[in-house]
Amino acid sequence: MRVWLKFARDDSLAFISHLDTHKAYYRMFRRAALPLAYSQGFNPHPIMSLAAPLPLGFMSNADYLDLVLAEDTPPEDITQRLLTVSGHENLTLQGIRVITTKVPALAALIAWGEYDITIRPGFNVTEAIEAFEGAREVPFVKETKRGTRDADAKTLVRSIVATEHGLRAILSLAEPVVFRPEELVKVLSHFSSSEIAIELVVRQELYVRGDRLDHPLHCGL
Amino acid sequence: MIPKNIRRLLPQVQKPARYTGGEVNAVMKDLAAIDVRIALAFPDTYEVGMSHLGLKILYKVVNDIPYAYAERVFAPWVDMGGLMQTEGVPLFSLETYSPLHDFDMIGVTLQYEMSYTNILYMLDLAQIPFLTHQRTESDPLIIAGGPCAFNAEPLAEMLDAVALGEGEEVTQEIVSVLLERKLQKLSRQETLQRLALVPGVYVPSLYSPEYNGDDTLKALQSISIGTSNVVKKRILSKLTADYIPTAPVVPYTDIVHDRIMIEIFRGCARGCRFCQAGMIYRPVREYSSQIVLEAAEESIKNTGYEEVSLSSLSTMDYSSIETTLPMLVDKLSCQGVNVSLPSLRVDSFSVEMAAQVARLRKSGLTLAPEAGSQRLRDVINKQVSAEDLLQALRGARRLGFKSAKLYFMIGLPTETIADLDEMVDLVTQAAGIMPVTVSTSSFVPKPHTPFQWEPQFSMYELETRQRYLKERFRRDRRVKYNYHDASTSFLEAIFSRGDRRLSKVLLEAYKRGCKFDGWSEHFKFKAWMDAFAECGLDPTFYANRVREEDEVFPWDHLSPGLDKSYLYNERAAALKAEWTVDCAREHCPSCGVCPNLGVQTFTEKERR
Repeated sequence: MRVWLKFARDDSLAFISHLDTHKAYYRMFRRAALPLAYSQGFNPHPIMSLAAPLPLGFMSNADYLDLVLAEDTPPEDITQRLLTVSGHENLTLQGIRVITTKVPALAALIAWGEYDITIRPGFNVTEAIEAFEGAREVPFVKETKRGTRDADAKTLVRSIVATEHGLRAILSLAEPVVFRPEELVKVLSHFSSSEIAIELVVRQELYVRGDRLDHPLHCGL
Repeated sequence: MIPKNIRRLLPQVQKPARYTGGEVNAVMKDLAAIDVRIALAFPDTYEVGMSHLGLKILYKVVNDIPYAYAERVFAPWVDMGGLMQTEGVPLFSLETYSPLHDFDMIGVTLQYEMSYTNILYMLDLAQIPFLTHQRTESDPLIIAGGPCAFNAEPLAEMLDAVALGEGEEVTQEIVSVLLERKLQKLSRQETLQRLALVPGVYVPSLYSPEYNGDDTLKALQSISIGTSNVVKKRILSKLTADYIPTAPVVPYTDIVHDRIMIEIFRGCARGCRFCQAGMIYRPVREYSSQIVLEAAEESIKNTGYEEVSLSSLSTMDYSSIETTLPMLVDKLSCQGVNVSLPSLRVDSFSVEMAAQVARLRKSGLTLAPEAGSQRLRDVINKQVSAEDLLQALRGARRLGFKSAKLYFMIGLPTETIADLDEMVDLVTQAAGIMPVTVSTSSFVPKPHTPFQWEPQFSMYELETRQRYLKERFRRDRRVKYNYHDASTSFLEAIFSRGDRRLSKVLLEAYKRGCKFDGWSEHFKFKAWMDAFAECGLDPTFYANRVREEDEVFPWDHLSPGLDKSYLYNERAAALKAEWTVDCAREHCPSCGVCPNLGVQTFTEKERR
């Protein structure tokens, strides 16, 4: 049986690596006594994967896991078990969806991430956002371990609005160019009189590929 | 939520998860309902401190008291410590991010002499004065415990009180004194006077030393009415399930021992003469196997861990290990949980038992013959023969182990080059069975052991012997040789048997930048020696001097229950290379602990 699970995590989990996050979920599933399915082989490991690794320091209201269970378990039962153990924890279940094995891995479907970006007091982003929206093209050089790549930041931003404490934006999470909130803020700094500093980033949602903006638990797969 | 001033530092430091708290099973309480706040401070990194069983126990003991709240705090790594100082962020607890100054008591554990400067480092970051007499009514009380508390004298000027022995009961009594303080508005001094009346609690400032002309101690007398001249350790007469921490905090990040630790017994009566743990934790008391099995299952349910390790001074000496270990492995393996054993005795029985534990095969085999020659093993009362070791290794090879680690000490009393040659012969024979890694540490004479009168070999002599062994092992490609730094062992020897004049040296060394001394990359030997020179004290007086039989020791008044005459007789037996039997298996050699403390040895086998 395969399920997709959505969790929110608070800031005590903001500073752990992707590997440690994976371990935290694994131990939580063990405490909840979920019938986990394990890979075959000398060193069996649970069949689970976490979509879209979260950069160190970010909070998230949208962690998605793709999980295989060894036994069919009613989703209400899974929810009940997870809520029982997560009541006093910093990982809170937000939703669950049973999914057929034919659907590709969740990680491969994710295309966009939505972020709430809090800006340090004293910075104003409204003007920079207006200037960004008004520009026809905003050249951006993506730096990766493999080298650099020229891109147009406008195509990497699906939406952007100013908020009370900063801005909310939907940014590309799919190849060829993943656009990170820090990179967006750096680009916005070019339209501002001074460098803009980030206080906090909270990932609010992930969206799957396609014309419509759908999150994984609601998409037509 | 993590406060902003702390959060801002986190992206700038290594391993920020050390400082974020909020882990699974961390205890959260409403501060408005709390009368006594305790910070359990571990003077080493998060990864080291979170691996410590004693911390898990005390965290549970205090948090089980409705009106008290224990939080955790560890020594920040130097990057974080530096930032906290420049940004003015005081040292904070991991549960509520409160500055340490807000607590009624800071509990520090004395696990290791080389962590003493870290206590000063933590006080510094917490903006709490270093010395007891500098602290005011609003400062927390600094109370220590742990094995090194049995000679807490080098920290006498920094510690407000010290608890000796097992902490479960005495900690609860200290908490009630702190409640009295709050309700009756007692002053700091009145509180210390009351603490001194709690059995097992030592208040260093209520004792005054007198020295002889040769710098040895003449006497250390109580200067407070009603305070005893000897403080005896506390001990649980029977081990029950009451205090077992079956819901320990589960860290989000890797720690040194990232697994469930289930204690199976306390004390060890084998009587190895160098071993302080074997002397100060007497007598042997076992948990019933039923408690062990239940505690393991409950802990797994509460944590989700995949590994359980059985903890004690010598796991294979648990009287019903033969039945308990297979039961535990059976019960847990179907839940995908491994069992691991931290310490193995040097014999084939241990290796066979260990073979039942699949995990061990991956990690390899570690055995500690401690001394290389039979004569020297007789001196230290390590009742293991060369044949025991070789048989254990042959058995291990049959069971599929591919290599072994062997631990030895050098510089043991009476050691000569002939003993080292015998070690080389033994290792060569062992290497014929499987490749071995040999590690030597330098012997540190410890208080409350038969060797407390013995000098440590000079650093020069220890280093000469390390070079000798290195040379002898160099040509054998089946042998890899490692050794511990002798200068660290020298400092351990100074502080393990030091007196309260060393408080000055600690402070001076800290001011010269010494901290994390147990971490070789931070150990500053020259700064230490400069600190001694500045204070006009001779380090070799503490480390390298033979003590007279009747010398008064700075730790004589801190009693684990042993008779000093027993220790001296054991020393005499050592020098004649005579054995002493183990009281848990044979007759009682009269160490004094049972009558002095009103307890007795208790094993699972006898109960049946």
